[in-house]
Amino acid sequence: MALANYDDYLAKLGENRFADFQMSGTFAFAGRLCFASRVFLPAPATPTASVALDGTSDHSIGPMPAVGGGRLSIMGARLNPSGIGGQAVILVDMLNISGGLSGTVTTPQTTNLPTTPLTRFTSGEGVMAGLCIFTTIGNTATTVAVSYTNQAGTPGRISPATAIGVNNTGNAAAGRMIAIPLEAGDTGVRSVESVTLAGTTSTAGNFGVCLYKPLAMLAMNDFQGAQVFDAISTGGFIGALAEVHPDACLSIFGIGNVAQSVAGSIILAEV
Amino acid sequence: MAALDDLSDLINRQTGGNNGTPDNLFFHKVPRVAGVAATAPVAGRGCSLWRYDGMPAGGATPTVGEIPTRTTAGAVPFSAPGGARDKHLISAAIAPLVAGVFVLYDRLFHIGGLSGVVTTAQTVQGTTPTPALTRNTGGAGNFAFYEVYSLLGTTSTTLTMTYTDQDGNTGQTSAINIGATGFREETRAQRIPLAAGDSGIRAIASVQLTASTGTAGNFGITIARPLAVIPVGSAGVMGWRDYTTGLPGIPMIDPNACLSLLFIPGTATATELFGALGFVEK
Repeated sequence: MALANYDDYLAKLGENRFADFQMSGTFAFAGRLCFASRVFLPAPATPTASVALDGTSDHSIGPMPAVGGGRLSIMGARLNPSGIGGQAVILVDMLNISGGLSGTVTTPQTTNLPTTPLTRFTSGEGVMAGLCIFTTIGNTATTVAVSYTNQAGTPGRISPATAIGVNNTGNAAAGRMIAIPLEAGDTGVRSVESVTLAGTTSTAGNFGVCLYKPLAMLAMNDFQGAQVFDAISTGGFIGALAEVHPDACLSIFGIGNVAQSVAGSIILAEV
Repeated sequence: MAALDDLSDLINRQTGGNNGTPDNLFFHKVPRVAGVAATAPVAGRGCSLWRYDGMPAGGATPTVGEIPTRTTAGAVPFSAPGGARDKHLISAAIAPLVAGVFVLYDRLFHIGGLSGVVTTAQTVQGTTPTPALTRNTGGAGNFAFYEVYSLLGTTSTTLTMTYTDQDGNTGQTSAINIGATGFREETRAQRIPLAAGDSGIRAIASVQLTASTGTAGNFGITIARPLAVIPVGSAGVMGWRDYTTGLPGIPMIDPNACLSLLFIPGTATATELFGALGFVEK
């Protein structure tokens, strides 16, 4: 089904069905992509395997509305930053997550890898890979590359080296999600098989691999106070009315002007 | 060409009605080129993100004149519209590490392999344009920039472009500086102005340097059609455009468009970024 017109949209918005989230602390580092679920209340445990995620996970906001035969859609949001500072709030469907990788091992690491098979977006088309830092790794700059299977099922793809380590550039802090670039021609990631550091970061810490599908971006740019978004009138909402899989692990990533926490609700409707 | 009727039509298509095929395309870039840290840009001056690593991967340095498309490595890879429908860009957003202005454009033509020491005319498309543009072929609104693929010399000189304007007038010329600090580093992208009265480019025959920059390096010429300008006022803040309510209306995207980004940074730091484009079809 689809919304037929503006009146239908208003009626669905008026149902005011939403999923909440709050954080016990701040996004990890200003200006860099971070994942918020580490500081959700309750906080999920650091994974000791590659875990397929869904709406029942502690990485998910909730409660997710039950869906009949319709299309679960993102209608809007109410967001409250903890202080002064803009934030891009990125809604993602977290597909799987692992942990147990070390910032000091320079041979290919396969702990808790390969990533568990995708249960949504199973081809990997449009799926992004990130390295999620659970415990701060070291202060020595190095690079990292991953071996992955692309959206076409081609294994052994190697990502171009990208920066990791050095906390004062945000590439070592707990809560960071280091985006993994892809080889030419690839448009998504089906699985990650190994992670290789070019050198040690000097501290083991703990990081893992997360595969996720971005769904929407919200511009929380008013710098202070509660901010409200709807799909039509407010602007600052890219991905308005986007479809959410009924089993999605709907979660929050962010890039902020400052490190801060955010609480709020994502307004959803079945259309 | 079918325009969206009204807000209800847009809402219907955004939720999948009438083959609206809503598509929210996300991308990211990291400040590296082919796995190596990207050269820092110059504050307030153009930087091409064409070769920046990320998702999509960085594009290659062109070796000959070619018409890149949505399937060329480096392009933001949207899906072509189905049936006889058109693709409409309804929104765009970028959240970067570095504040500045991002220009989303359709990369209509590019060539690399030009030299910073050759002072005779260097062919771009030639006097009989080869290859000729295949999108926005009338030229109105198209602009050109030189793009540095490897370091040029320390001597400033003048680049003169000979082109065909939007009305088909051949032999038009315009000039811009090239070489020396700030105008020679990898990823630098400097717009080339047009002759008085011109408002677009249909083809570029050649470019010629007045003198050597001192180092051959490698630079190229790109013809582009701007699609969206996304200013970001502060680092880590999301710049966005909603074309339902904002100018210039809802741009139509050519089914073969090669979408890429130019960046004018506020500070001399290579940026990483996360962004999104929202589309519907009609």
